[in-house]
Amino acid sequence: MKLNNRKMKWLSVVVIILVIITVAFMRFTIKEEERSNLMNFYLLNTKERVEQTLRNSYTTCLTIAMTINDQGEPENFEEVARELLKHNTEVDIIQLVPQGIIQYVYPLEGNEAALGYDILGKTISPSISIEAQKTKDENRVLFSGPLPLIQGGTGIVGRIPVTKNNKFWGFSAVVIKMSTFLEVTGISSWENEKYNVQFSKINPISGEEVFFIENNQRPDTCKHVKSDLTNEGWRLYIIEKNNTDFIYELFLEALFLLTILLFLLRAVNQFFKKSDSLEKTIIIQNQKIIENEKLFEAIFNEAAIGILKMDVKNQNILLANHHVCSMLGYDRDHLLNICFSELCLSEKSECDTSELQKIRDKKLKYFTSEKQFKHNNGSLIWVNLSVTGLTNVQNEVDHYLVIIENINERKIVEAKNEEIRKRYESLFHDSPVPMWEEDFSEIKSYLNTLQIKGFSKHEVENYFYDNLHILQNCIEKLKIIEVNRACLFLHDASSKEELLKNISTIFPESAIDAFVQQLVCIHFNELHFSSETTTLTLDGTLKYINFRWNVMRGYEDTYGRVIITTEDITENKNQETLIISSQEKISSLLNDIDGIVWECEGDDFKSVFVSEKVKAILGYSTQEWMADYNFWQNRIHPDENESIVKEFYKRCNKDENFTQEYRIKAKDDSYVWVRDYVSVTLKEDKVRSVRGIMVEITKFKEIQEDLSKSHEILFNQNKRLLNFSHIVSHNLRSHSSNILAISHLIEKTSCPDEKEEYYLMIKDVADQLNHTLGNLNQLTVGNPENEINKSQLSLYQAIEEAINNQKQVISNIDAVVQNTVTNDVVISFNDAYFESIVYNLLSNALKFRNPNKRCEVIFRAERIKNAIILEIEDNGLGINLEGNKKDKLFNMHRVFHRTISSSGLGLFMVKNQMEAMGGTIDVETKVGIGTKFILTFSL
Amino acid sequence: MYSKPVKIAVIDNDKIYQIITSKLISKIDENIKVLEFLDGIYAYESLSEQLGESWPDLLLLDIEMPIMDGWEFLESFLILQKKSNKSIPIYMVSSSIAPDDRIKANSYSEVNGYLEKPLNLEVIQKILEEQELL
Repeated sequence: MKLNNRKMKWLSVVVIILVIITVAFMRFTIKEEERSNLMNFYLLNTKERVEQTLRNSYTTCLTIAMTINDQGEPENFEEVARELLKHNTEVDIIQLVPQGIIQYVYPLEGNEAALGYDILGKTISPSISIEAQKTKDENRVLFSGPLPLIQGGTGIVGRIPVTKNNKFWGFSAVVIKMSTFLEVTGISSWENEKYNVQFSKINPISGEEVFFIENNQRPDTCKHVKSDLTNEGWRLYIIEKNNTDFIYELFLEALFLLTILLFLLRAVNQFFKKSDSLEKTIIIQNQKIIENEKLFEAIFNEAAIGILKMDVKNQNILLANHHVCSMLGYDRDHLLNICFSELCLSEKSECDTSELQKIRDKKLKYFTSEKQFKHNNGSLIWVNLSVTGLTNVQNEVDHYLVIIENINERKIVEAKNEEIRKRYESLFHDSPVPMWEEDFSEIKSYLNTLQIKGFSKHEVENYFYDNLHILQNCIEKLKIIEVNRACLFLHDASSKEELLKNISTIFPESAIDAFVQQLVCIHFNELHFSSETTTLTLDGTLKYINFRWNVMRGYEDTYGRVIITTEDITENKNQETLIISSQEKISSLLNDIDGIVWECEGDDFKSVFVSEKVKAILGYSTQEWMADYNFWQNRIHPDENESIVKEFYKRCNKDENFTQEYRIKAKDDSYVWVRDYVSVTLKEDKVRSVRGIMVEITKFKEIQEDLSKSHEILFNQNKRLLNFSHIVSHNLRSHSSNILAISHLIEKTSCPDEKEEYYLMIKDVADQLNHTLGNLNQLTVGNPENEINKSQLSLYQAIEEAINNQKQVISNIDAVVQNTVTNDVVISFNDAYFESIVYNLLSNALKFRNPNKRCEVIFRAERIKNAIILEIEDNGLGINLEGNKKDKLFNMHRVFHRTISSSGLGLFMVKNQMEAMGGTIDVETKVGIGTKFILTFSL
Repeated sequence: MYSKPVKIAVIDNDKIYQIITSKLISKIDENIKVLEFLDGIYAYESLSEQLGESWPDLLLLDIEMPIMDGWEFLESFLILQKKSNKSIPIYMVSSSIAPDDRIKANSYSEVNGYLEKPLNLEVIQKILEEQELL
């Protein structure tokens, strides 16, 4: 069979190849024939036209020959020729050639050369004469040429030999110019894309073939057809221009056939292949059937599943495999004798009966049911039955096939699962926390359609706020699967249905933020969410809830199941609000207190609070205060820093309240006076917290300072007055005591002379008293009227005047007094005082000059800070100020140079006058070198 | 009665006071010699020249004086006294009733008393008796 197949295949191949070759050959032959036919058609057509032309020419020849009368003279040659030419356009020239010599030519014009031309004699081409001779000899019409014409050009000449009185007369001839000939035969106007025409003649002398249409190819190699014209050796060809087209066509044809061949070969191959594989399949199938039979037997007996076959009629068991027996605890023999229904618990078998009936009636293909079977030992086993019908040859159901699966364990697990499920359900439903099971998958996929890919969280958030309708859409896409009882309670709903129906009403406006947050969360695939937000009960009461959700495991991609808890925190929230509001109240209270309220805690006194007044009072923000651990310490004025800080820590450890006053540096670098009321709380002897209020007292301090300044002024003034009164009392008392003493002596004596002496003494005392009073009059110390009387003095000017007043003395002692003060220095001073001061100091300098030197006095002024300093320096005796004499220099009645008389009033007055004007005086001196008085005028 | 006449130095720049004091002393005992110094400096110069033996037996010292006042003199004299190893009673005499002066005077152990002007016979008598100069 196999061999046969192969033979068949090869045979088919050979047959196909043969057929194709035959077809190809036939195609080629047909093509070839077609070509030849076409060429022959063209050939005949052309030939016909040539012959027509020749015939016409012959007729013309004959006609002209008729003009020759019996005498051998042509009559009316011209008229007849003209007439003939008119009708026969193919003829160019008509001639009569008596005795071979051309004598009559029409038209004569242009053909004059032909006259007298002996065509039987020596001619320009030997063939002319040969052919003429041939015409004469054969005595028939003969077309000769093409040949060169004597008048120029080439032409075909048709000649008829004319016999008159049985004697050769000559020729009657027509000349057809070559161009005319080619034109009228259609050769020159030949146009065909495939074929050319060619015209030739066998040279009568050389026998060579001469071709006349020089532009066209010769037939040598090309495919051509030919035909001989007349018997003058003319030949007409139709020549194929080139045979590439034909070859191309052939090639296409061959290609086509080759394709068909290949296709057929392949088809044959396929066909035989298929039949081969089919053959193989059958063998394999047979083997498989055998194997399957074995397998089935093994499966039936060894299967871990029970298989029964039972009769349709009585439901008796006909076949049972090993597994059924072991499952039910029966012997196979025992099992084969009982009815199927005996195995089942009776109560449930009824419905099965109807199902079995349906299978029998072929209304049902199979059914399954879970049943409890009786085990041989009396226990019950859960089994899963699958029953199908087995049909016999008559296509009737005659047996049932029952597959029994032991599902006892599964049933137990199921029961357990059911229990667990119920427990979880109760956990869900009885949970005191409101719980929802929801499906966000639509929201999730809706979010995926939005143009928010690649947005940051913040941008997504803004997108939702800008597109509130999207939020609404999301709420609509929220699918609630289940809610628990606490949830109903939270929303004051009587049933789940009521809640779900009004679900859109539980979102208050204040919940939008949390809702947006949660959408952002979903968009970014976060699986947990938690936020405090609000919700509404169905009757519109606002509730605060702690809103959280988790995506259930396994639904992370779709958000298909999400467990939500909405714990009611309204109570907490209300309390929190209360606390916050009371905190706010306290903090606003603290911040309104007109002082910096601060608090620090612990061993390290870390700042824990500072009120916002710190900004108003010091210019610092509370943050700046809190951030710098050493804020307070670093900003106390350096003058009191150490003492204040030390005192602060010392007193803080004593659990007492105390107050400190100090300057603290504000942000603009100015110092602010504060009074800090500090209170300390100790716990177990450790500082727990220290609080205080820092009240700004800069104004108060300024006033205090002003007060103390004016106090000082008054004090100084008082001191001066007291000093003065002391001096006055002393001076006056010394006189009064003298008077008292003298009067005492007068009392004691009785001698008149002595008394007289005492009276004189009283007079002396009176004089002295008078002198003292005169002095005192000068010392107008602390006279308030003068003090007010300040004016702006040019220092230079004032000094110049003082120098001028003592001009006489200066020139007498030849002293040098220099005033180096510049003109622009101005002081505010009483002018009389200033004159007195400069007078006294200058006169002292002149008076206590060094006798060994030329006296030099120099006035110098200099501005320092808020004061002008005037120095008066001399090169005089100097004063010995050892011990504490410096203090006494400016006292009244003090004299430092014994040899020079002095009242001891000058310096005293100078000092008093300086001090009365708020200035000071100081002295630097060295004995033998000189003295320098330094006056300081405050501005 | 005495081998040597008693000498009392009165140091005061008030000439009238000097006269009156001399008068008063001579009224008590004409033999008492009064040494008059018109300034502390003169008294100091005089005393430093004759160390010890010929020093007066009593000093009546004024406070207010132009060149060397009472206190200056006192400081200088105390050094002198220490040097000479001899001490003489000193009484400050002043017309000042300022308590400061009295307190200052009392602060010197070498100063025997503070007397307010005017002096009279009884006061001088009492001092002399105190110093057993009579």
